[in-house]
Order: sequence, then C-alpha cells, then structure tokens
Amino acid sequence: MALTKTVKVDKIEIVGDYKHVQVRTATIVSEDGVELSRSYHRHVVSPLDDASGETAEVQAICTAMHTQAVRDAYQAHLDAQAAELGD
Amino acid sequence: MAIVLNGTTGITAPDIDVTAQSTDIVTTGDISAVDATLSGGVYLGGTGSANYLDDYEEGTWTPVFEGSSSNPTCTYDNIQFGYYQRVGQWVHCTGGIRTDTVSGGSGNLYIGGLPFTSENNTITSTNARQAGTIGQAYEWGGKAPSALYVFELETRLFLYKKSSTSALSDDTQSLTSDLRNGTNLNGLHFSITYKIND
Repeated sequence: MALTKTVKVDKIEIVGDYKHVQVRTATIVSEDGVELSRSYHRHVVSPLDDASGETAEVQAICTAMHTQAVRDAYQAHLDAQAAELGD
Repeated sequence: MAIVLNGTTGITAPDIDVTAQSTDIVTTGDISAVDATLSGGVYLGGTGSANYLDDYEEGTWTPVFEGSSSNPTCTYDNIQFGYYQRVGQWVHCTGGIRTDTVSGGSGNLYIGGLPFTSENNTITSTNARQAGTIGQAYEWGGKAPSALYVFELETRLFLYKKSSTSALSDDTQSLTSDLRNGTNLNGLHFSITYKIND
C-alpha cells in the first residue's frame, strides 16, 4: 500500500480582454495508483503581475499572452477605474 | 437495434458502455446512479440556455494585501485562508486574513488573489461593481474597512472605509497606510459572490 501525494497545475485558462491567466493547482492523493482524493487551489496571473514565481508552463503562457500592448491596455483599464473612483 | 427492458430485476453488469451510442438516450422514468461524469453540462428545469449548468468546482484561494502603487510586504499568521465554490457563472468566495508584520506598500489597499477574474460587465463601462460583505474587521491602524467590492475584469477586492467618524459619511478607499505593523493585526473576515465569464 503506497500513498502518494501529487501537486500539479492541471488547468490553465486565458480569460477576457486582458488575457488574465487563471491557474488551477490540483493536489491528488493516490493509493497504489488509484486516486483517493483531489482538491483544488486557484489563483490568477494578471497582465501586470510578476510571473517569475509561476511554473515554466504558466510563465511561457504569460509571456505569450501578456504582450506590451495587452499590458498597456490593462493599465489603461486600471487608470479608468481610478478615474471613476476619483483617485 | 434496440434493447428493450421490461423486467423487474434490472441490469447486473458492472458497466454499460454506450460510448458508441450516437443518438440521445431518452427515458421518461428516473435515472439512478452513484456518480455521473459529464463532459458537457446539464439542463435543469427546462431546455433553454438559462437552464444550462456547465461547470461546478470548489477549492481554496489565498487572500493577500496589495497596494495600488506598490504592494506591502506582509507576513500572515494562521488566519489567511479562502474557500470558493463555482456554480456556472457565479463564484462565491469566503476568506480571512490577518498579519503579523507589515512594511512598505503605498496607495489604495486591496485584497488580491481571487480565484477567478470577474466578468466583463456590459451593464456599464468602468462603473461595474459587485459588492461583498465584511463580517468582521479588527485591529487596524487607520479606520478598518467596512465595505468591499470587485470591479469588472479584476482579481482584487477593493476595500472601503468611512471617510469620517459619522456613520452617515460616504465611503472612501482604504489605504495601505491603514495597515498596522504588529502581531495579530489587520484582521478581516469577508465574503463575496460575483459573476464571471465562461
């Protein structure tokens, strides 16, 4: 009887005009290769976020998606929000 | 070819494989099973798009304090947790956060780390806010946050406090300078339900 715990990114989604990268990390517990449980943790990488702490796969997607044009557009979106709030 | 069942003892085979079945399986009776795995969704109470449920998920997320100009550097104690439940296009989040140390940071204060990006709201332009609830706020340096919401296309919660001691005063955005450095401070327990795009 061998219990194993595996943590891996099992879903990456690119969402919306500003290419937010939604990352789902699964924690899988198995016994002799048979999955006993699976739980999820989620976070999102925004265009202006530092992606250096992400997995290589997520970093590659962020690099491809978060072009300077996307980053500029998202910054403009945030600036518009700030203007709306009177900041 | 059809298989007609009109007995009373049921099927005892461990699996019935209908993956090669290209037409719908229709019954006017009930379907009973232990688990069902669907690659698509399910229509509930009707056959319109408004009856279609195509996603369900539950899990955890990690709330963190962020600043609009620069993020504060925080260490969190054992109160730093978040749970989410997604049902279709709606996400319900709860969370708690509390710090042991805080340094740096500037600008408006947010809680970052939401598990899904909020929807691209077509109701209005930038003024698209979905409100949440703060259940408890305690041990802050400035006025404690009393309200929160999420803008469109965001992964952060905007925090608000009263602009004066009057209960009738308008809300104003919380600031990173409202955080206080020390053990077990800047506590916040909250929840929000917000809409996302598929």
